[in-house]
Amino acid sequence: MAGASGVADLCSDRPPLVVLVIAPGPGIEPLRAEVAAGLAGLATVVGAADPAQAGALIAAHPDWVVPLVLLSSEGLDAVDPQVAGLDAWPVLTEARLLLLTERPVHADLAATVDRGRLAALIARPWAPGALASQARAQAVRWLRAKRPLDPRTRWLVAADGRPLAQPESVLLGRLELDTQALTVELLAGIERVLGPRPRLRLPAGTRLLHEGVDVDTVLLVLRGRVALDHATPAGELRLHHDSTGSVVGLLSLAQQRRAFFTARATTEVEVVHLAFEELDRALAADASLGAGLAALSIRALAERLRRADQLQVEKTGLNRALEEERRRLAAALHQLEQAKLELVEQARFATLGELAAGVAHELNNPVAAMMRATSYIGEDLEHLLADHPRGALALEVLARERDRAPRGTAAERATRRALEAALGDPALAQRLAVAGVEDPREARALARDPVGLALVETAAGVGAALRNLEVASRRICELVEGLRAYARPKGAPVAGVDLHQGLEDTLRLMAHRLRQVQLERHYGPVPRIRCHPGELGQLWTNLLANALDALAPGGRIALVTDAPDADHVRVRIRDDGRGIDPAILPRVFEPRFTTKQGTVRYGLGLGLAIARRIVAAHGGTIDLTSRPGETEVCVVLPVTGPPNDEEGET
Amino acid sequence: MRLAILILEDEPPVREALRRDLAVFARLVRIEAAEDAETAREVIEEIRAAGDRLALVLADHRLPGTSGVDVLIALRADEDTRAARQVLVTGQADQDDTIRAINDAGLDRYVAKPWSPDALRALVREQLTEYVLANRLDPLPHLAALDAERALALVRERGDL
Amino acid sequence: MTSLPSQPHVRLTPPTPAQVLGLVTGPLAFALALWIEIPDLGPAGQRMLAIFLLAILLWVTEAIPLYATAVLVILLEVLMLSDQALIGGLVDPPSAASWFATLANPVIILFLGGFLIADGAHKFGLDRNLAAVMLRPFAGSARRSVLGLMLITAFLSMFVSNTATAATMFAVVIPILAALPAGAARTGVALAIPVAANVGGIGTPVGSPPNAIALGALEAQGQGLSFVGWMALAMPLMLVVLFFAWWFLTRRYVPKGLPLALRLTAEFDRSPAAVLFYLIAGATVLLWLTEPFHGIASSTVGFIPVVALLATQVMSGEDLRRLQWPVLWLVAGGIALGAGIGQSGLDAWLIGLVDWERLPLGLLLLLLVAIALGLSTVISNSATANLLVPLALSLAIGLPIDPTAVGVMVALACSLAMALPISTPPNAVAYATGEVPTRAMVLSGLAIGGFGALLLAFLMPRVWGALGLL
Repeated sequence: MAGASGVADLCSDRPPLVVLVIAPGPGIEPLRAEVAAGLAGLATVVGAADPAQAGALIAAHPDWVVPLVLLSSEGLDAVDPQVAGLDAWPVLTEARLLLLTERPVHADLAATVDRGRLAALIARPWAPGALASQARAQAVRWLRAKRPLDPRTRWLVAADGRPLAQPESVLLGRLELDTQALTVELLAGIERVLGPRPRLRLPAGTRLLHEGVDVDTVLLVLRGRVALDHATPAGELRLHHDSTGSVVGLLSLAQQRRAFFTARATTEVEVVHLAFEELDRALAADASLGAGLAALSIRALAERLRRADQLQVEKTGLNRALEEERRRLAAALHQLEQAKLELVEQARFATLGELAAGVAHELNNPVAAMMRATSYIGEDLEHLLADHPRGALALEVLARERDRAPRGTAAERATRRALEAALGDPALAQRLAVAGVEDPREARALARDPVGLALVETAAGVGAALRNLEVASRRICELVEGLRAYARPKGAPVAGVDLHQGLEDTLRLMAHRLRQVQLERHYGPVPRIRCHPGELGQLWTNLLANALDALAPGGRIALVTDAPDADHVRVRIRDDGRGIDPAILPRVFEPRFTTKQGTVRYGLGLGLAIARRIVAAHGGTIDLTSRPGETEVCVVLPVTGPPNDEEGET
Repeated sequence: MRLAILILEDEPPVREALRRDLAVFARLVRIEAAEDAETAREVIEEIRAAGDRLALVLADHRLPGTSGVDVLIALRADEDTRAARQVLVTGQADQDDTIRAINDAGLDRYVAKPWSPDALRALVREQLTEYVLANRLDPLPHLAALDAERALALVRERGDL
Repeated sequence: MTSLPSQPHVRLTPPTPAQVLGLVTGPLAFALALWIEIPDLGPAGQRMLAIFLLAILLWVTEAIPLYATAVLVILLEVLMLSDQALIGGLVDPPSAASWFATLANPVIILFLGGFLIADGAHKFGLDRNLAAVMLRPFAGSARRSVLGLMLITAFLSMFVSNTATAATMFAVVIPILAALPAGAARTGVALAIPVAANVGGIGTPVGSPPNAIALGALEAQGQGLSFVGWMALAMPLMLVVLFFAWWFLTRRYVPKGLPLALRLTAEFDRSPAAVLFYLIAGATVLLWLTEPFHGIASSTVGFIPVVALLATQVMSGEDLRRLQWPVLWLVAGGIALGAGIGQSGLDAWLIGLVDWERLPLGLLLLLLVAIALGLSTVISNSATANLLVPLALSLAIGLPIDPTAVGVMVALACSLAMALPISTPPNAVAYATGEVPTRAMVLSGLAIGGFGALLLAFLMPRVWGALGLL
């Protein structure tokens, strides 16, 4: 081959290019010779009996650059492991792999193909010279890709990157030409058959084809630019502009004769108009025109296909971005809804708070009057009875009954039974027991003294009434106090708050609901804390309400307080209810989440969400663990209370 | 044999108030009080052991650890207490409980707190009369605690034996 | 109201000690009387003596219900003294049917009519309305009102059972009691009702069961007494005792000048059924009162309203079912007992036990009245009459006095017993109101009953004789 010596010259100061030929037995020599012939002046050909020997050679010559490995499958059980073995050498991983085979079918090349390692497959016997030319073409391709700056490459490849050696087929040869040249050549050919074709000069905006109209002409664009637009429900969509190519009306050549695009000139254009039949005549007269047209068409279609693929990729990317955007919007909307619900709930509590404060205030006066009046009655009765002949007895009974500690009905009955045993008269025993007489001797004395009995009964009645009045007004007082704590506007955090006091206030307010469950208090020593007492009241209310909802009558709620360390207090509210389904456990702190018959129960559905907000505002943590029979909410609050920067917030 | 009224109420002041408002009946009728379901059972057992008859239960709706309605339902299911008249005395009973009390316990009356003493006494008198009539007891030993006109209808039927 | 079905729930009550006594001594006496050989007494008399002793013990102790003893007497007579007796040896025994027939004795039929009319009167509100109308002239002071109450109670009681009268009148009076100051006044008013009901019961044959028992026993002896005839014998005593009772009770309990407002409204039922009832009841009473003119026996007259009321459907089978059959059977038992004593010859034997000739008649009558009064104070009036009327009539055989007078006297004495709450049902009702202490009842019962008994024993035979009634 011409210039082979030149290459050799060039190679002298370069790392040697070595082509490995791996084949067993004596068959290797003709192979090596044929490959060497193809690569004359480009690379040295070295033979090896098997991949292991090849490896040994590579190891011995670290300066070798190997562009090509020829591997004969002869004698190999499976090709994939051998290739993998070769690829263990870094210098070989870049080499192109040529497999020589005598087998009609290969099932042992999956890994090799998958890794893109198979460059070419040559079946024995091959046409004379085929191996040599293939080996050379592979080597050149390697050089062009891996050593573009190597002088040997430059010698083999033209400046535009195309190998100097041209394809031998007409079609592939045409495809090597540029579009303009192809167009000119095709037009020249057509004009040779049809005679000179007039050039049409058309201004920008001229429509060359109309979408949806049958196409029976082909336009060769010699100058200017054409865009292809497609009508969609969303309006005119420009699919091709730079990718239009120089043949317009191409699809008409295919079966589909109706234009898919509207072709519109975007600059002044110069086109040649060819009717379908004219083109047909030209192609029939000169068969060589077909290759030019085909090459031009392929070139144009390839452009368009690439553009279409690109559009598809762009579309997918856009879709993805859109989806992301939609998700973010949904999340934002959800958050907005949560915020709104919480606001509504807060507003409700605020209204409730104002109302409670008002009621508490209004109740205070009558309750104070009641409490005072009760003690006045007591005092006045003392004066009044001082002059009564048996005033001392009456006063004694009255005081005894007024100051009596509450007792259960069982104790009352026991007293009555004892009296019955002493007196033998159930009705009288009942009267005496109601009058608070317990001493059998006193009872017997009264049984003989109807007037005294009547006096004792009356005095005991007054005493009991006074006691009940006191108890009742004290209870109203406590309720009012609880309501006030509950209703206290948020304002600044209050320091020195007794946690247990707040819990008790809440328990009192919820007494009507708590009546049917067993409540256990395990209050440990806890320091006083700084907090928003009203908010904490709401917190306890929500947590207790949730626990109550999960309990059947007779269930148990335990309240445990302690201080895990010097800076924190901990409140645990435990119930032995049915527990929370593990599937929904992660969502219980979300607003609007409620398990009550799938409907949103206003307020309670928000209960845990609000609890979490309150705890977070206090700088604390809230955790919920649940299994059937034991659900525990654990609230940990810092003794120092809410962070100071939070104060201006509300 | 005396008729017995059982007051089932856990709050001592309310219990005492009920007992005092019913004191006019105490001379003829055994009045018992219980603060929870278990004590109620004991009391009922005592009533039975003494040969008296539980004629009327005045039950609060909420009791510690249970519902007054459940106690009433249990009493209705028991052969010995089935005949007793049942009255719910309550400050607040929700609809479900009230429905249950009427359907399952055959609740006879419902008294809202706070009650009027006169109305309560009239109601107790009426219910005791119902009990005596329904069980065809001799009304004379209890006459002063009953609605005389209706109770005397039973007497009239006896004739001059 | 309660949705649960009330099952019949029969509780057998354990017997009281008295009942146990009756249950033991009754059969014992029965067996003893049959076992011991009694001279001068035939087998029939001996068997009857056994039945009589058993009846006495069972009635006095109330070991079994009174009406059960009554039917037991009839059964034993059938089994021991009839032609179907289990053991023979009797001379010409009466038929079993004749013993059973006591259940439908004319006196029972008379009572049946009386009961049906009384029940109808209540059903149509006639008793209450009559009371309201008749009380109007007595409005004003409490003493006058009590007189009115007593008169109307006595009047009703003449035709209606004492118990039903007391029930009706107490239904009227209890609201009135509440308007009076607590204490004596209430006691007086509450006592007036049972006293008047008891005393009123003696006024007519249908007024109370002892009357019927006496009447039945007298008829068995062929000494029939007409409805008006009875009234003529009993009414004077009734009125005198009534006024005495009023005087006693008001002086003792009702302060002079105490106001008492009796506001009773009469609303007569004017439905066709009610009007029909008024007509039938009125006609019946009229026929009873006019017996001397038409001669139709009072028992026959008593059956007319039964037929008429049922035929017109003014009264139904349901009303019939609710009649006080136990009372009727108790009376029937008494009649059967009396007939048994007479037919078995037991009466003659009993008379022979005591030499009555030695006792003055007045003392004898007083004793009889006192026994009747005492016994019926503690046991049922009807049971007392059942026991004493046959004895008294047996006694009368040997006495210089009309047996009718003796029979009536014992019956009336039974009705005058009212010293204890258990003496009569009206007393029990009054006691149950809680307004009458036992002491007050004993006092008034002794005073009024004693007054009545003295009159009955000493004055009435003379009055009856003077008036030519006997």
